[in-house]
Amino acid sequence: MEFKEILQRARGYDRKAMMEIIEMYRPLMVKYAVVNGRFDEDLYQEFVYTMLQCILKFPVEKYADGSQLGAALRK
Amino acid sequence: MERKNTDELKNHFSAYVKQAVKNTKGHYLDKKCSVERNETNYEEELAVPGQGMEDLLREMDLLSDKIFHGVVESRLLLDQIEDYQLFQAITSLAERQKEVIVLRIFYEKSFREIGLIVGMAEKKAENTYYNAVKKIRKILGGVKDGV
Repeated sequence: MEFKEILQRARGYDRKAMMEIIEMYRPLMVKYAVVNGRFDEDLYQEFVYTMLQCILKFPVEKYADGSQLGAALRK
Repeated sequence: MERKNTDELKNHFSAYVKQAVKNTKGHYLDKKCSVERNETNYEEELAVPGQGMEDLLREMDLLSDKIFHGVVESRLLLDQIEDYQLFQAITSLAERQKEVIVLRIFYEKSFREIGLIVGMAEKKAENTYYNAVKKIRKILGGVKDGV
């Protein structure tokens, strides 16, 4: 499944798609959740919450046809 | 083309997520720091001067030295009383009674010494002490053996 499709479904509150995106970014969240050499579970949970907000708030329209817009601007 | 498009979208989304995660971390750490800072201040304020038992004893020694210079630091000693009712009862006593109580109980002075320090006769110091104890007992509502 393409990323675009997963994102679309996640934005439609599809739990499976949401989980898939969170899984995708788990390494990033784990990396940033380490504070002073220790993994901060609370911070990690904050990140999961942030991820869900990102999924819902990400301005897809702005980037979905970004290349077309770029092409239009280049004309 | 479609493939490139979706990759680009993913990259943008990744950058967006990364920035959001960074911001969240910043806010989280700021909040945690300020909470910790306030907590320490609060604890410092509450702490009885001198941490361990040894410090307390040393402080008591210091205070009893002061007594011979005619200074009674009753407030610090009374602050150590943990029973709120008892504390209230003692603080409600007259200044003279309070001094005698502190000298008798905390410094373990004889009535003769108390009389010398506070500036009253031995007998009067004794009477003041027993009157004060009676008053505390009355405030706490206890019987003679119960207090």
